[in-house]
Amino acid sequence: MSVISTEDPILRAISGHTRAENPSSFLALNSGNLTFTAPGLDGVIVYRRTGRFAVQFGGPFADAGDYDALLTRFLDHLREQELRLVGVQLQRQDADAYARRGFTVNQIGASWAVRVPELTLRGTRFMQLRNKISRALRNGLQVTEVDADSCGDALAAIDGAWLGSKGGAPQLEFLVGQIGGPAQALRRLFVGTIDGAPVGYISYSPVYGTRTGWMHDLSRRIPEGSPGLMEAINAHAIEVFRGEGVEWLHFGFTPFTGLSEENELPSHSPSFQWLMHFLWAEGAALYPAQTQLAYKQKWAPDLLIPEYVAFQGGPSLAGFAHIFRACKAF
Amino acid sequence: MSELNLSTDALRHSLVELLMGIIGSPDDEELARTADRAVLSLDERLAGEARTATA
Repeated sequence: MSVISTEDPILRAISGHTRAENPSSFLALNSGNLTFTAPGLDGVIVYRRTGRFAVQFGGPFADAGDYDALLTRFLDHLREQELRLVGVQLQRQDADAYARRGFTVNQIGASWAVRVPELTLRGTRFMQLRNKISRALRNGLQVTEVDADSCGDALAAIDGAWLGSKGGAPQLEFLVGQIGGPAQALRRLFVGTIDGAPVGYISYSPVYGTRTGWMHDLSRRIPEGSPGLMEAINAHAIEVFRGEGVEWLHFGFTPFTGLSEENELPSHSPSFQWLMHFLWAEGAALYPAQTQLAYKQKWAPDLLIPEYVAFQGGPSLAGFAHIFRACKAF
Repeated sequence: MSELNLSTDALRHSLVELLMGIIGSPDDEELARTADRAVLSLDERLAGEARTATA
């Protein structure tokens, strides 16, 4: 298996240019992404092309002195390609930069994180969570950190059962993690088994910057499994991370969550602000935000990180829809 | 009917309908332009309501 080089330009950019503190930056390494670089400029832009849009992941991962120039070159490139830019998972620093360029920028959701050293599952607040974990362990769950290469069959069995339970729904891409490929050497993988049979897994991706740690990324379980499988796997991983002195566990981005007036930029679109609130309340068919957030809130995250969408040329429903198209959500 | 005559709730409903339409036909450029106009109409309406509320 090929292993990513520390000199890989995307890895160098996301681990070295962390001013925006994007907790999901490791997704930049997903296969299927396109990257834009420019001679003489230190940094990369990560995006996917879908329809007549370029959907950019995060802001430029670039040296502070090259950030604006790289974005300018990228916009020139897109103009030549007759593509319109929509950015997603921009952090606040990116959001301000895009707003200064005339993009319409709105909060689209939030990422969530918890400090590992202070996280204990003691107290009434975590009673339900402890009960679920106990049930899984009483049902025989064993959790092990594994090398993805050594358990391909187990992962395939869990994936097959999980995807089968989704009624043929497509596998999401782009803004969700992957397992395998050259970047796998940098991820952590914890697998749960009962009586030797694989029942669930959670993959964790590295997070760079001042909130260094791990991001609870791709997770799957067999649909008919014991209650508490994912909770028990994550609790096990937290104890491993705690033992290693890890500071932060990130839960990643959930659209339509953590919305707040105080997070909006002055030039935001009120329509999109309303639409995000509407999709939080009524948009489960597009994305099950409430279910996703309910899982994250079990761990009492103590950090909400607002994330933004940026529209070139004014607010665009088509641009917004193409974010989900780029993710293969429809 | 002109969008000027629609209530704010009707404009919001129209926005959701247009989003669903785009998801069904993501390459329909005319639909996308119609949706962009609807967003701007609702932006103006909501901004106007906010100004009135704070006046």
